[in-house]
Amino acid sequence: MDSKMVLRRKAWVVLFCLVVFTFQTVACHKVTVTGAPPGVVAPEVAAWYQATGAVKTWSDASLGLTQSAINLKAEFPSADVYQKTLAALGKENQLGLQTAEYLKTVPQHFGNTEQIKLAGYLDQGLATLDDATQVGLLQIKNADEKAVVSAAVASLRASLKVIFALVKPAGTPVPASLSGGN
Amino acid sequence: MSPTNNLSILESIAGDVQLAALVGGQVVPIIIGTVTAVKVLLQGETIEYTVALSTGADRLDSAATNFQRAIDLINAERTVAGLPPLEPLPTTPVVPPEG
Repeated sequence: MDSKMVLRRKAWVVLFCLVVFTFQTVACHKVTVTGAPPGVVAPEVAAWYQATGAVKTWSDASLGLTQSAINLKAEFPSADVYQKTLAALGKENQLGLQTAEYLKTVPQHFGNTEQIKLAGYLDQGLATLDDATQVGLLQIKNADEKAVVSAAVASLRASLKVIFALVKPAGTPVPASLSGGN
Repeated sequence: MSPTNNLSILESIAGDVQLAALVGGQVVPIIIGTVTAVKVLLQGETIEYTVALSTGADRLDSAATNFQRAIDLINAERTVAGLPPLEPLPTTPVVPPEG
């Protein structure tokens, strides 16, 4: 099997498993927090705890995607496209950083208001990721490298969708940026 | 596909199923034709309050470090290109999402 075929296969495997685990994770998992002190709502702590895990995964995927884009500098059609792509990824990472800092402040009170605010961060994070994709990631010249980067983008999108599903208050519609495919 | 290739593919997707591990999922390899993929079996998780708080805080610290590292990498590239560092985002940019 040549290396290009292996790369393509890896990309499709990643995409496939993302579809599988994204929906199962959202639909089935339940965290129960015990021993919460008076005045603290255990399900809110559970939702916060799950969100921290998903944000950690978001950060791993985001750092990986950023490193990949930088490693593929020569594959962008121009220096301008490269820098615009990095700028969009930079904004996405800045939003991620704000999200992590925000979550640090609400471990014991992660109710409807806080969840809506977090959903707003996720919505903007998705929007900036889409910017990076449209501005430059889809223009990477090498098809195999582009497939790998696309898989990384899908991973990132999946993380953001999972966080949103974990935290969205009941009845909250899924924003357009989160309702697309992987 | 050889076992070596299967292992290689599983390793390559390890990062992508990390989320399942973080929220208590169990990853099981499955074979579809010649392609190895994974299925995530999810189970309930019970965690003590103080452990949830400390573990969550550790995760957020690690996440913040990752995001900051990515920002630093981008700023280094901008410096090389003669561009200023990324402008800080407003601190309260969030609006509730709409469907």
